[in-house]
Amino acid sequence: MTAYVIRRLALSLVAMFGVITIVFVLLHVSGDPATLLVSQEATQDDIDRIRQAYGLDQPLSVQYARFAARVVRGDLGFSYRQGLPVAELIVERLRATFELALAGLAVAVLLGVPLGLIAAARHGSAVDTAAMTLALLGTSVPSFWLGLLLIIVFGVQLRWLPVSGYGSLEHLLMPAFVLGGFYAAQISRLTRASLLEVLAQDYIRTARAKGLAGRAVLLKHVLRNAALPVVTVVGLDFGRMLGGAVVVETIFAWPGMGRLAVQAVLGRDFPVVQGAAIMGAAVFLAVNLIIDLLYGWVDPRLRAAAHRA
Amino acid sequence: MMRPIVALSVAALLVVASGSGTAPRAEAQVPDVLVVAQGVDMQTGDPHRTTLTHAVNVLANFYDTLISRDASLTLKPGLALSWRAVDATTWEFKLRQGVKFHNGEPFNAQAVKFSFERMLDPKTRWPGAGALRLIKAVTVVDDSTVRFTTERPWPLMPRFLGYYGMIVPPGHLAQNGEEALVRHPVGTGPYRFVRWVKDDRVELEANADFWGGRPRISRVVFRAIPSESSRLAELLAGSVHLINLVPPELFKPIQESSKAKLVEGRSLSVYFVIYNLVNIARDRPLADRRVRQALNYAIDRQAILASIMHKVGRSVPTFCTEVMLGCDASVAPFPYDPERARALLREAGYPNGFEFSITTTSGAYPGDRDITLAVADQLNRVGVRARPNVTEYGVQLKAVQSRQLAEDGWFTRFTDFFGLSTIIPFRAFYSQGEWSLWRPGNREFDQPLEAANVATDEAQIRDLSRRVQLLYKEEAPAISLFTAPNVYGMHPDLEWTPRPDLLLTMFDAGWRRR
Repeated sequence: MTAYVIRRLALSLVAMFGVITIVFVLLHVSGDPATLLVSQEATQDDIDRIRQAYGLDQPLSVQYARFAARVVRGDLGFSYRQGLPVAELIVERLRATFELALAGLAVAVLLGVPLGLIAAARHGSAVDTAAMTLALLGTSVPSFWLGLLLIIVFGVQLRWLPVSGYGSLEHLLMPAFVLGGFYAAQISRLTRASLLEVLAQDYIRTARAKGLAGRAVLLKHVLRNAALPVVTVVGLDFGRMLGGAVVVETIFAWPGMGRLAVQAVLGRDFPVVQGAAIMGAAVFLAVNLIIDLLYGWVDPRLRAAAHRA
Repeated sequence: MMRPIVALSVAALLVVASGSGTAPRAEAQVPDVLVVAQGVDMQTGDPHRTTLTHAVNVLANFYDTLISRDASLTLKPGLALSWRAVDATTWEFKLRQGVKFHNGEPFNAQAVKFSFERMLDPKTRWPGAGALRLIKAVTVVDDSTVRFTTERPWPLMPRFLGYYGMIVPPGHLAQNGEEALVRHPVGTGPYRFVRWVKDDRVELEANADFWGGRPRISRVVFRAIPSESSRLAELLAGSVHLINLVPPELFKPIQESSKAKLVEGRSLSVYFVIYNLVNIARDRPLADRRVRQALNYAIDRQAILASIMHKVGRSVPTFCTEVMLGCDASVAPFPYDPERARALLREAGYPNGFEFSITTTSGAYPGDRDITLAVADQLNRVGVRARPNVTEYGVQLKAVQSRQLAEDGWFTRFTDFFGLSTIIPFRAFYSQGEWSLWRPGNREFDQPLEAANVATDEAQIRDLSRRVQLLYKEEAPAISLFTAPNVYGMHPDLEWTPRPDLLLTMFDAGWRRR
């Protein structure tokens, strides 16, 4: 098991370096931080001086070598625009990012799983069709449209909730709903499919034939087995919500990592973009690793296979 | 299994709804906090680290410059009570006495010297240093008198010090380090810093000891709301009282709502479609000045202003607006005359027009994409096959700055924060200008601009500027359009005069008593 974990960690590091290199190259080729840091009053001197100060006048290979050396030391550098350490900027936004992701996850699970359950329980009926249509709408409706619609209704017309911003549970409700709603749709479909698949299995028929009460069948056999793929997807979705709730953060002015990353890209604030990419990659890889380990631990068949490997 | 969950959700919603009902949203009473929303958070609290407007707009509440400007850009005493030219290369400023920084430190000549030296120090990397590069030295004469020595005569220095040159507390920086202001601004301004939640809000409270008197509104919050629609929604919901840079497509909802009013400020910004004349070959259409003029005659500026801009904005004959020193009102604009446009094109040898690609951004400036599309359409009607090409702002800027723009035209906006009509042509059309696409350019056009740069009095500058404006009509290095909008959405009871320099100083903001 330990050998497996170590190997996965090593592969994760390689993947991370790959991501960082690609981001680095794309950034440096696409725009010039110096021109974006100055206003139109700046002279050529100002622009050149800034370029020089940030080492942007060096050849790309030199810049990359310097950058790689810093990253390996754990130094993410300083933001060009804000003059603060990138690590500090990221940490400032971690709490808000986690809050939104957790809330989104809660919405996704609390909406998605029950919906999938009803659909599977009433498989083939009008309820099933209705539930799945709702799920289809959830995946198809663009989040910015849904967000703005909710803002108009609950924020401007009814005035029940604040339009945007951060700081209280009320501020969290709409963004969490918009973020989670999309994933809820996906989770409901997966829950339904997974339940239906398990319900059709032989061992379920056997359990019923044995005389087990409906509820016991459900709890002991059906839900546990059906839960596995759902848990995996929920975990992956959480990783995605952590990394990229950009649209929701923008519409609702939520001070998270996504907004930081996008603003940094538009302003070509290289160190921040690179830091955000590293964070995003790290989170994603970590979540993946944890899910794989969890899956292996939960499913005895995989555990045995891992031991043998 | 479903029923408990349904019941729980409904209950939760009702609790939330009733709970929110008790929290007062800004209603008929005068709000006790003024909330202003911009699209981007202030980048840093240190005025010597940035010239980005989103930061400067907020910092102007914490810090002061030596010279103040009112909404018509008239120079007024700021931290300096008076100023005079001792000789051609020396300016003397008499400073206000009894002023303290927010941390209690006294303001004096030493603080001025320190601040300017810090600004101009290459190690500070202040992006505005270039504009003040003529300052050679700052000397303390006594506690309340300071002298600036310039490299060569700079009669317009006060105009520049009306916008640039925020004064910072030397003692505070010495005690707490060079980075002390980045997270926590400390200045002499009408508001002091309370709190900064990154990417969410900056909270300010009135400085009761401010030299200009206590501000009318005691608490201000600057919020960062990236989406224009959300900013508008907040304004209409009454939880934000002032939004800036309203794009033309959102003018109507604000005008029609009883919960907000649309207020237009004078503009120091001009929209152009600048011709890409970098090393242009002699046989290309744009190399012929008749073609460049022709396209100017082909544009119906009033139609664009009336439709896309909802009548906000004024046609600009050359490159300056009436607020700028030296902008000559007698220089006539290019009239809308498509026949003349076609005639000029025929004369220049292009009876069947030619291809003309225009690069534009979408959302970088209010109305940018729509205006470019309208311009392209109008050019097409005179036979010029105009093709707009929407790019991202950073990509476009890099192409322009490195003189490697692929398109024939560049839709952009130039702003002159100092109110000097020669500034925009110096940046955009002078052959050595940082953003100029007119290279190698035109000596006859360059020469008066260079002279204006070293002019010794205002009359000379007006004269030279007028010459440049007339030359501009002849050479037409761009299609001049109109002023860029400087439009704000406000709470109906808020009294505040918008500034042409876009600053969001809330010192003189107040609530109208109903």
